[in-house]
Amino acid sequence: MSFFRPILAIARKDLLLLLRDRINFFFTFFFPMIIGLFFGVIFAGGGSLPTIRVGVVDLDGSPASRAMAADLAATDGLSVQLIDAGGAPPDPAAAAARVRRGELAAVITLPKGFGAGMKSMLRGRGLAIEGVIDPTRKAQAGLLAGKLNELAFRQLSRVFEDPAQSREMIEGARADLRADREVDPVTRAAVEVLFSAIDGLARTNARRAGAARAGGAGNGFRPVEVQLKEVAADDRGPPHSFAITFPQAAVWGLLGCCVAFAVSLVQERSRGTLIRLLTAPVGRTQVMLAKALACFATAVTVQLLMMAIMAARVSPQSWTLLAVAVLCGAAAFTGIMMLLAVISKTEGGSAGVGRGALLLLAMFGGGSIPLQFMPDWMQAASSVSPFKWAILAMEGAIWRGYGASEMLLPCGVLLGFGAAGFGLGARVFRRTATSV
Amino acid sequence: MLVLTDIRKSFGATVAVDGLSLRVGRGEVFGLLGPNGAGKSTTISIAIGLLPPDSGTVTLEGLGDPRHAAARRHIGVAPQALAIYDDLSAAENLLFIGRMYGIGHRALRGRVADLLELVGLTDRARDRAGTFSGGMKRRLNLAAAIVHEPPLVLLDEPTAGVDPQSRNNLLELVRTLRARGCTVLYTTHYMEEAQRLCDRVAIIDRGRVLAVGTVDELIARHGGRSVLTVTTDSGERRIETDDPLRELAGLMPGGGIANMRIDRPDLESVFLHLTGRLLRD
Ligand SMILES: Nc1ncnc2c1ncn2[C@@H]1O[C@H](COP(=O)(O)OP(=O)(O)O)[C@@H](O)[C@H]1O
Ligand SMILES: [Mg+2]
Repeated sequence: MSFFRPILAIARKDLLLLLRDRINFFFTFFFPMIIGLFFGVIFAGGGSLPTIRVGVVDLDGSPASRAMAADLAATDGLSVQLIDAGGAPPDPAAAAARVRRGELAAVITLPKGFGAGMKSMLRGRGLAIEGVIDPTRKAQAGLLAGKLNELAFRQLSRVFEDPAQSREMIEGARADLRADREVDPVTRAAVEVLFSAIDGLARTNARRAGAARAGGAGNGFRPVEVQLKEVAADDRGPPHSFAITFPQAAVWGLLGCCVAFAVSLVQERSRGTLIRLLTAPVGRTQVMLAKALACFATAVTVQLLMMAIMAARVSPQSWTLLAVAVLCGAAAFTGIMMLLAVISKTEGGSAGVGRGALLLLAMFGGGSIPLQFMPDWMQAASSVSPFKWAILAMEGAIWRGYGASEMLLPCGVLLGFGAAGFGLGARVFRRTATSV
Repeated sequence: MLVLTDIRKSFGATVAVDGLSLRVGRGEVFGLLGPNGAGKSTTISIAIGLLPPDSGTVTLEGLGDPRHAAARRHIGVAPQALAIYDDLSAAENLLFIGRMYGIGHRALRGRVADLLELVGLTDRARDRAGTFSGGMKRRLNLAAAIVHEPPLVLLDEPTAGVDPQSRNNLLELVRTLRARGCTVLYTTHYMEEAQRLCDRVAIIDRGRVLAVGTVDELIARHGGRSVLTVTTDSGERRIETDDPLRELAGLMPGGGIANMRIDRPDLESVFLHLTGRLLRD
């Protein structure tokens, strides 16, 4: 008889048993799906993750400050709440208290004179924007500061686009300059020339903007070219909450599958069916390979299923790399399954110890809280968890923009886990005597 | 058919099998009778080559060494644990085992149908084994041992925990196997089963064979005397004798016998005589 026929028959039998075991089937397929959808929908606000709840206190009430608040509200990833004390002047301290209570991640205060400050930009008085942010949201503080800068410049560009406003701004600056006795004549002349140039530029720009508006193509003048690209690259976020929650769902599926097959291998021994297989005679190696095959197939299936659901909202940057990630994840957890199967002699023990240990590793590895929300030390410590690498590999292919070389690390680690688990598990399994 | 010679096996400090020798003849039902922990299951594991003995040899006549795969294919085993898959149906269990032996699909279908008929599970063929009673599971466990029609069948406590009806059915099955020419090694701690079923019995305790023979031989050699109990006007008399009928005939002329009972020795008495203990304690 061929070496592979019994392997296929056992694997087929195990897949059938998995389908018929309601609990294992649930934990392998449905539970992950629920996790993915549930958290995916919860975090789906604004179409990106994470949504930062920001309160805006507008103490100025000028057109410029209102425009700034509206721009903030229109920003992806921010959920903006205008703090309005119902006629009475809004109170920044009260708003800050809401941050302390965790109701808001941050409060941005647009101070009195924000609009005027905008116009006196050229006179060296910058825009003053104050903010308080929840100290646990350090990662988001950077993102928010970047956004605020960007938006402030957008307000400024509006001023320049409006001929009346830009004239007013430049006239104001000239008046200041003339009034200032301490400026030496040479500087004064130079700055006058500069202002005239800006004025001319603003006029030209206003004409062009008018023409462009008529023609339908906007080409706003930007007083300062802000390079926010770096910030954007650091915070290259997932395109949709599903891009986070479905890789998580996939690792929960891996956990379910890993436990299910480990228990089935333990059962094979404890129930005595292993004796039947061994007398048939099927070798221990064949039995192990069959379990591994069934586990691997299930692990691939559950991951693909999760990725397929995710694909309804998110199209991965690279399907090829995603396929590689899925295969490596399946290999890792097939190996871990083998190890789990030899840790305990009893089904209960294996299921208990296995589920417990894996649950911890899964949570640590980003299965519950996305990795990027963990404190640095925890992110570093989570490297012991194979789940982290499985998530990283999937995310790398989906939205982190990993190239083949960047995939090497997570995939290599996963294959390492797989090989170590299988090697160790198989060694013990082969040596453990089986008796009637 | 199966010869075990001076087998020894210890688990740490526990000596499970202690110099055990057996010769099971072709076509006989051979009983291994002993209390729990006597070493019956360990002996079976060694006989089928799953467990290497510390010393001693196992020979399967005409089949070779059971540690080699080729020899093992001719053995059927029904382990003491119910070695069936609860989430497979009766038929699926047998089909799966058949596939492990590489039996062709068509032949296998026919054989499984026959087997289900034989063990009385035809009308439950499509039901999951998990829904079966203890007796039905035992019957399926036995059927699974003989899917590949082995000439040597080892049954480890095949009636453990079953109702009397299933027990009768199982014993009948073993007789059927014998009628088909199978050699059966049958372990049990129920002396009635050994007495009813087995051509020869080995009484084992603490890993040693204490006595081997037909049931009658064992009783004659080690059972001790029968006990005749008669109740007369003057009270109850207990008489140990080799020939209770002759003894009774001798008492008849005296008359006045209100009641009488003859307790013939059985395998229980054999065990008691050999070990000073009861089989089940
Ligand atoms: N795998 C094992 N590890 C340790 N001790 C064992 C093992 N298998 C059997 N034993 C011990 O060997 C003795 C004989 O066991 P066993 O062969 O199962 O007896 P039986 O089948 O007659 O009840 C018992 O004392 C049992 O505890
Ligand atoms: Mg036993």
